[in-house]
Amino acid sequence: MKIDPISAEVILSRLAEVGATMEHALYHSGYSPVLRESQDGTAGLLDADGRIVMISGGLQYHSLVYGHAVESVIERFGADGLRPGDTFIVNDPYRGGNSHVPDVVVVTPVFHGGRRIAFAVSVAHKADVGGIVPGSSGAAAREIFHDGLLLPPVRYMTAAGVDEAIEDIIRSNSRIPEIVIGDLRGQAGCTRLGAERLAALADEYGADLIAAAMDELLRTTASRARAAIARWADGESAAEGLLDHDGANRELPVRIHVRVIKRRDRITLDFSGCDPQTLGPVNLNSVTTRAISLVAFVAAADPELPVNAGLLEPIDFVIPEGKVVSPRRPATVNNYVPTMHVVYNCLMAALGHFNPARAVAPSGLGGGAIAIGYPEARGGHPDVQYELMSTGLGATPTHDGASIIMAMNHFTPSTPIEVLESEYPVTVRRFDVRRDSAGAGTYRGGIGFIREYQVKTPCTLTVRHSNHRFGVSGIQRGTGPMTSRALLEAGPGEPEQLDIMVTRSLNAGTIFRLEQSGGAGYGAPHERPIAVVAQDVADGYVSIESAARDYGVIIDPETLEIDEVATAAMRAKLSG
Amino acid sequence: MAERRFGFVNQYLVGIDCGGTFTDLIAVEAGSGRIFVTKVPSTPSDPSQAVVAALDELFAAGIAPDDVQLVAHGTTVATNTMLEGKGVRAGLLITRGFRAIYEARGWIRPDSVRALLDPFFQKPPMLVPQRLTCEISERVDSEGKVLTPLDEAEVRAAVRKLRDRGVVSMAVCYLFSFLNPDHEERTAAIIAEEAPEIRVSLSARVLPAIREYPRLSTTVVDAYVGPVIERYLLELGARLKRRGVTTPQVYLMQSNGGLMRMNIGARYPTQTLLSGPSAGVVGGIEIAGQCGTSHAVTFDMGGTSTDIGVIVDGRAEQSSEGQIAGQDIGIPMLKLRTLGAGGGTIARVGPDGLLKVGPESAGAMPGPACYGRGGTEPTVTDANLLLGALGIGSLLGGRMTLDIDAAREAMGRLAAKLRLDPLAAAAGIIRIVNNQMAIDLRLALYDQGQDPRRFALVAFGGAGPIHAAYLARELHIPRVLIPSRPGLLSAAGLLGASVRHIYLRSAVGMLDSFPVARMMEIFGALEAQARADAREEAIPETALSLRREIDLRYQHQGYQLAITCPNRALVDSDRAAIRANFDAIHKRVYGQSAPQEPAEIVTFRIVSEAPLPRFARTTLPSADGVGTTRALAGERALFSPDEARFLSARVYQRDKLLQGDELVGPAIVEQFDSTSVIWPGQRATVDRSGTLVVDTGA
Repeated sequence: MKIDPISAEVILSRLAEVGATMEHALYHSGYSPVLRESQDGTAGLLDADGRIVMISGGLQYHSLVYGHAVESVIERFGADGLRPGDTFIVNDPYRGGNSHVPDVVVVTPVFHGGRRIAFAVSVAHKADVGGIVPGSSGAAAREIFHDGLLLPPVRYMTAAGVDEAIEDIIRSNSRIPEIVIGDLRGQAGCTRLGAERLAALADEYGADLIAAAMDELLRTTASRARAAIARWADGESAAEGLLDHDGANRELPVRIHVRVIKRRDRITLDFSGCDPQTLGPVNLNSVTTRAISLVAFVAAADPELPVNAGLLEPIDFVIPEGKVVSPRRPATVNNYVPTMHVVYNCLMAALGHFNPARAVAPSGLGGGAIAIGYPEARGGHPDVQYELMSTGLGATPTHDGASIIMAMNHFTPSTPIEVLESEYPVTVRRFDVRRDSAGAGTYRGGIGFIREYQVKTPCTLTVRHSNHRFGVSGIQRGTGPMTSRALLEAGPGEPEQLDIMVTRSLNAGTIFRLEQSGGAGYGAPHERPIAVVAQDVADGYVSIESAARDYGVIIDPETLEIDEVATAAMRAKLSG
Repeated sequence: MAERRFGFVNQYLVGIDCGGTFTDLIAVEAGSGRIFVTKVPSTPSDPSQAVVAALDELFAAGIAPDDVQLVAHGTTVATNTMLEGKGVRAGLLITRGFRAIYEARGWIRPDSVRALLDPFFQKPPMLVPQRLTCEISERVDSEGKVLTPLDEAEVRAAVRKLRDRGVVSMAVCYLFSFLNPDHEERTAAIIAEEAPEIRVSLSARVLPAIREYPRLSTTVVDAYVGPVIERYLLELGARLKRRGVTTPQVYLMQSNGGLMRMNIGARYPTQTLLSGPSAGVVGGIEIAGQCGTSHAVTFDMGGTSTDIGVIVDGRAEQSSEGQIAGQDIGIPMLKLRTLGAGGGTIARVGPDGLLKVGPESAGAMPGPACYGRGGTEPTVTDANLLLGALGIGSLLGGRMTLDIDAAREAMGRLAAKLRLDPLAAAAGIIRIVNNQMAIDLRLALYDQGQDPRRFALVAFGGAGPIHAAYLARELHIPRVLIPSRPGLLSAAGLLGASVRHIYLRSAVGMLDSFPVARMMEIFGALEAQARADAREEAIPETALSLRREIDLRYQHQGYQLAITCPNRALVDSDRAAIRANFDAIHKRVYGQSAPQEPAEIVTFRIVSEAPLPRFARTTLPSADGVGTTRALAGERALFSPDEARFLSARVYQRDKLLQGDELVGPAIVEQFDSTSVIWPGQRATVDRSGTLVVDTGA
């Protein structure tokens, strides 16, 4: 069915509205406040063939999980086995394609006039689904079975209501059953609301016109993506990056390698050069590998491109099974984010080769999270303080990178210090910009930060960090940032540098500190205007030493004035 | 004039609303309700000039300056200062070791997918750079106890350093100052000693609420715009005096939908940031009230944007998460949803080959193609002209003739790109812009958990009444209310507002164990502050009403709900009622509640209100019973999107309509500042106050 450019625009806006309504319901109708606070979930719509049409929410790399989960449901129940009123769930990453076990996928087929016209789907993180540690993501995990309860695709709801046997199984496998069930019901509710709204839209416009609008979106996205690729010169590029280790063998770095081959209006992304799957939990399943590739492609080619199945059309993937980016069962995948970040940076570097105008320096590695378990928090109850740690974005050809921000989806997670100290027995001693953490360049990277805590009671600290050893490099003669690190001060003397994945018991009074990487620099540092470098020094972003060494700007430490003669000489030397 | 000669003293209440393009004035004679209105061009570089120009027109009409009993003023000075980045050079003092609070900019999630994924993403600029930020050794803990005493020598050194760098205004934001403001207060005293010329913004006074980032950001904005507002108010005061307006009753509209006396305006500069749109919402409340409904959505569509506000039970929804020019503001304000859709909004072919409307606008210059001022791209107004919703003589009572050929030409170029005929392109623009506005209206209601069928749509702004009746039917909203002067509702809203202040203070603790005596102490302190301001505003004690609220949340939630608290000495047993009320409201707003989870107190709040002098409402004379031909100006071809053809619509003159008149769609009602469209199947009646009430057939 043909659709005119006006009806298509109107219907696509209405579909986005359905997505926004589902997302709102996801964050507001769940039980745990944490879901709304972290917004660690998405909702979206797929067409009748299970192709992703749109995704609402911050984590756009959930996109391909949707399609995979729908496939797994159809595979299990048969295309004719789905009935109006059904809602399915799945969280086994090797069945549903979800990135790790706590991410539960909910699938509700949408019917209109007895015909299946679409799917309303949501992916959302659950606070605990069993496994070897609270939160279900343990560094000691060596098999997927350590990551918690694995649900194959199951029919969770019918028109008659919830299957209580399934809820009972989940309850028996969670440390916080009521919260998890409350969130799950809220998540299922959001997909059912989406299905209801979409069916109403089909009443208004006709199911065929809606299908035509979806087709139109996927088709134009594919042709825009192809046109973007066609503008690049044919050729090949490659990039690689390293993770410090997989958590099991702490001596052995894990290598990520991406090769991009561009011919006419297609690209091939080849991951054959990646290391084999690991014993520790840093594996990234191939569905998420492909999904983050789409996100990187949009970032590198044209951020106006919407994320949907149309992007897949001009992209071929070579991802042999059994790699760290395509593990086979039963590899554990619980700490996939650092791997995804390195994959993303490699893709950006390799794609940047083809589209230099949008090539940016890489964002700082070493994001992650900390969890502090207090046996006795406020009111004498046990409680867990959980915080996400970001880094800085790399510099661009036109400006400095953004400071203190997540790399692949630009959230700034930030729990207020006043809230933390009111809720937990902890004092935040510092939340400061980390001087010299950014890579130098004509444009410098975004600044990283320092966050220092002192615990007031005995507790357990879990650090899920990454890349203390291997950082990133700048581009176009820009330099790399300082790497991230985690430090523990149990008493007097040199602080102890902690590993990237570690759980430690702390005594009352212990101080620990996270020092986060900034982003990498773009362009030769000595070409950064002298006045701007001096301003960076005055702002505390760059030290006097780095101004001299990296930027060739000599500043008197006493008067803070620029020594113009020495600067000219130093810059001549640096550019020579 | 006649009354004056006989020694009557007329009392005029005057509302003056400064907008981006025009400054509107409405004056009401308090006893008779007689109204004078005027519109003069705004003077953005010196806004009080337009205020005085508008007053001069009032005086030229024979009203004496000393007959002005009250002036209520909506200003965009603070807003424009922010949008143009023209605030003062400000400094910032913070707790040592915490420079990343401002640098990180708090919890951010970009609202577009583009920004989320684009590696070129940038955070909003810091209004005070790190080099004008000084760290001070001091620390207060979560109980309000001093961990590290204030290093006064450091404060002195910092003040001198910043003064030497040309800082004229200073923000101070220390951790936990909302619990214990001593260090901030002492810092203010030191600044006053060292550099008395520097204006000081203390976070403990600007926004004594928990969460350091929004408090800091709001305090910085206060420091950044404060001196500009101060200067403006001085200038305005002087100009009013020179014109002979001597009444002390001069009020400013605030973002919270209430007024404050100008003499304390410089104390709360951030409160005027959303002054203009708030007045429209207040006007909407009044129109809805006159028509006997307390549930309304305000729909204010102007030249470049549309503001949507939701009114439930006669009260506009409040928010404490505002943003202007990318800067976060945490003070209480009316919750408004703004979208880039107005009469001047431009239509183009998007990168996906589909027709897009906005968000770019042709503004007032060059304006729509049909304005004939050089605009070449088709806009919403051009589409309305080609479709007959507007006629060539519709604008400004025909003082401005629209160039339909220019509109057709611009539309033709766009249509060619889409391989459509110009008419189909014009109809497409209206369909798309209506669709966008419908989505935002629906989401605004959905966000509050409200059913559109219980609401009325109050349509105003120059373009609102053109689109409202069609939109409302699509949204299942049964009634549209179009005030008698849609372009002046914001100015009229100024006169319908009360004086209002919101005083708050965070004090975190479990509801179950929070000592009642402490609650009373906090409320007592806030009430004392409210009474002190009221005295300065010359509001008699008897006119002042104080309402208590407590913000509650479930543990670990990052958001809270305001629960009304009894206005008497609290006792332990009040907790259970407060708690039950919280669970119920949580269930209504978020669809679920958790009565078994502990509830936590976050913030105490006092809302103080005092009514202003009321004026008589005029009623429109009743219809003469001989039909509406007296107001009929002719007929015009109006394109119906539903039937995809032109219909013949009757065109009426609004100023000739009388109370009780009934119009049947398709019909068009024209007036100086707006045009209303009524569709087939809809009928409109004129009520006693002159409001056009459209039964949308929904």
